Amino acid sequence: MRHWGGIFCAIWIALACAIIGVRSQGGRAFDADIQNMLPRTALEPVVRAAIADASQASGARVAVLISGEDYARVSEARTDLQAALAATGLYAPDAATGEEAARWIYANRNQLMCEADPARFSADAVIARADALLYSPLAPVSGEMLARDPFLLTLQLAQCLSPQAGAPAGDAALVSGVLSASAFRIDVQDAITAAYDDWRARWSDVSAARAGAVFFAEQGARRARQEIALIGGISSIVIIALMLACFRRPNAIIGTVAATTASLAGSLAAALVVFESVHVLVFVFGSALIGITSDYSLHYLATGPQTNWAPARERIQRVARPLAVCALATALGFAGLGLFGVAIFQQVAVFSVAGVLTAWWFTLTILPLMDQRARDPEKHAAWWVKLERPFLAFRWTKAHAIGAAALGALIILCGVLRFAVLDDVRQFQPRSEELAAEESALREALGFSASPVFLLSYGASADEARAREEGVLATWPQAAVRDAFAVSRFDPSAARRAENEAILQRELYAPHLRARLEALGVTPAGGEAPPPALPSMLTPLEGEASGRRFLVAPLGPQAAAQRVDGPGAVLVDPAARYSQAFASFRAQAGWAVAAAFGACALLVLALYRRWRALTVLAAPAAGVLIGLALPSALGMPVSFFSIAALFVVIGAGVDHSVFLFEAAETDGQPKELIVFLAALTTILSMGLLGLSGAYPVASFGVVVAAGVTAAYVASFMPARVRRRSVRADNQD
Amino acid sequence: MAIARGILGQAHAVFAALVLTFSGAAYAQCADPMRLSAEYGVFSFVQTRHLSGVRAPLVSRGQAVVAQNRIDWRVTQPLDILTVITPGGITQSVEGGPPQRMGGQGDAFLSSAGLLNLLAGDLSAMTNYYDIARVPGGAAGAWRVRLTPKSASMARFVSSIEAGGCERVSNVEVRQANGDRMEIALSPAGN
Repeated sequence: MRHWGGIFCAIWIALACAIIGVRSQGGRAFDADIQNMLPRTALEPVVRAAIADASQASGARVAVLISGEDYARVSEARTDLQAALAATGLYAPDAATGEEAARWIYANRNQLMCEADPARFSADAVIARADALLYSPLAPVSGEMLARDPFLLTLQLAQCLSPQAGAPAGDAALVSGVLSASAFRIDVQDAITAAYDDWRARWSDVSAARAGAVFFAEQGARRARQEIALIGGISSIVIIALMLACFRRPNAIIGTVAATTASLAGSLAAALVVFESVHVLVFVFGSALIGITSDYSLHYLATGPQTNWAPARERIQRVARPLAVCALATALGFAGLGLFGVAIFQQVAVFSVAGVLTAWWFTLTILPLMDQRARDPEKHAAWWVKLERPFLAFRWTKAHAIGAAALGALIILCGVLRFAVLDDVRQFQPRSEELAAEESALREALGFSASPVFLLSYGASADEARAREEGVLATWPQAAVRDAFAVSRFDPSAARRAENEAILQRELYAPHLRARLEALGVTPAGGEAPPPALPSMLTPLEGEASGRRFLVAPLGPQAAAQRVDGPGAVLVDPAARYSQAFASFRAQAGWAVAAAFGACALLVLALYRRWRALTVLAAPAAGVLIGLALPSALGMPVSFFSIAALFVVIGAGVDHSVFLFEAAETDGQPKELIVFLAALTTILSMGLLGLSGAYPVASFGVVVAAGVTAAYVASFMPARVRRRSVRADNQD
Repeated sequence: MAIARGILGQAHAVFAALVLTFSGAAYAQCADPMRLSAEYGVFSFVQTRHLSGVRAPLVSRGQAVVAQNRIDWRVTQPLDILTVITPGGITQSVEGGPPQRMGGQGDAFLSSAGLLNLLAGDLSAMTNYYDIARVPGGAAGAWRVRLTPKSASMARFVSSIEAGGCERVSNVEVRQANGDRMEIALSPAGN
């Protein structure tokens, strides 16, 4: 029967690998869009799509300010950098988009207006500005231009429609452009930064200041990779050394790695079958599963030296029931996440339940086939006994209990006093000081500032969306309007176009054109070129979602401070929206933790049919309390990621308690060593994440480390209760 | 933007002209123009712009205040336009209005002019950007030089700049690629 179980388990794992292989081919199996983490109800579809568009538009910009003492070198360096970035095939310089925009403005000059509110139009002001351009030492006025555009509307519009920014001064040169692919794609980050780094190595005698999301994203990804390699490497080495020291045979490592790999294959395949794509954040929980599922194989492997390698059937019997309780309790806990209507929680639920059950199945069916009798079993058994000796010699006294309780109470008190929450995504990832300083230097040199806030205008049609954007801008002061980069300023609604054209004809051309031409001595030129397409710099700022068309207008600080009244328009601060969503996640995850406890309580009551069985929940409860309190006491605020870590604490706590609780009833074999080993591997594999520089990872790791440690200590309590009750039963 | 590049391309020529204009002789009589040094003070100017297809030239007058690392170029007739040029950037205000930064984001023409060198009156540094050649001058030893842009991007806007003078640069002519011309005549303030 067990062999059939092994065969079916092997078939499932092979099938899981095939599913992963097939689904990975499509390129849509994995999803890294932060928005898809959010609950469907957290943001309206239009806001969600607009944030994506705004993020794409702002994230695509790249700028490098080059300076140096020898301008000839600066100029050569600029040319070289432009060529290097263009060679990636992912970068288009601003020059191309600038010329597009100029052609667009010229073609539409008689339907555009500097004033956002047509009622403020002044023909005298237009003429005064045109005269200023004529006599300014800097204006690029030409005879041909005057013949076609005697009021120099094109030049005036070019200056007033875009947010103000300067050009670099002194011996500095600017390289700027846009990326043709997402700055958050790893391959894009690698290509752009490699081109930049190579260029930097060639031009070490010039200074350079960078700005662009691609540089920050690459730096964050690189730091994460380094951390994972370092932390993962250290924890892997320590865990392997620990297992070799305890089991003294590589089979134990191979068996544990096989069990966790099978678990991950099963979990990922199940998620890919159920969901169209799996969010990469689910893998954070995947790493948590490793800590839990590896315990199952450890418990089975420990029965080898404990029983002097008794027949597999007997070894399985020793762990079957506690493993079943652990797997079911953990699976139920994670399944509780699926009840909250949050897409990512549902993915985690399917992922984790499948992973836990696969690990359980593997441990009871295939692992026994892999873990053959050792060559010198007596020697291994003697070593195991020697390792267990200090654990068994330790007596948990009242003094210990009082000390632990006092320490726990103190930690909880400090945690309550210093309790704080953190949902602000802007504080999750530390920004590189070097890159921030470079960006600041570049902004200062260009006199350019930006805010993360944008104006979202939407309607049933593109024209209605434009009309609503125009309606908002018309209520703002002109200086604030200039601080916005709005599509409708370049491409107004049909009604506004007609209104602008009528005003220009009535108030400018009709009364002043003849006199203007005579004063200048210019003969009007005809033959207008066909109207060009909307400039490519504007197209990312327009979109459609849920049947509604929308416009995104990036704002500077002055525009972001304005009010927006009226339907179909709203100021959106993406970071604030994300932060609200994370706060909502945190609250819901808290309820999921409570639900997990409830499910576990029902399960142990159903299995053991005794109230005192509920004591197995004491360890996870203590783990949850300390897991929350200790980081708070140390000044680390609680976040969604802290709460997510509590599921690991509950799973590990239940495991430890159940095994110690069961030990007395099954065979009386001590479990202290293996429970210690299981706790230690969990703490090492995930607790070390607490050293990460990224707050979400660090908070996850610290909570696991603190919570699993507390759960481990508290897991001895139900065992004592069990022993006491067994003794009482015997006396009766 | 292309328009902004045009602005800055022309600005380059103007700055070059300004430097030449504000360079004074270190010696008596007509000096070697390549040994002129920056001259600070207040000057009057007359700027005449000849645009092809426009019958009447556009004439403006005003004063320029030249200091180290700063030039205030104020047109007083027929309009009041103040252009301030510093190493930190260029601003312009019209008829007493608020100053506005000039230039477009992403454009490098202004910097390619080697503005700081120009402001410092370092004519030898201008050889980084121009080929400078002597051309036949005027009477009494007056000299004349022609500056031709080295870079193709600058040559799209400026064909050449010619400057002439004796003790200092007294006139500059900027020839643009589109056929337009600009002349600047300069004298110490009060003359």
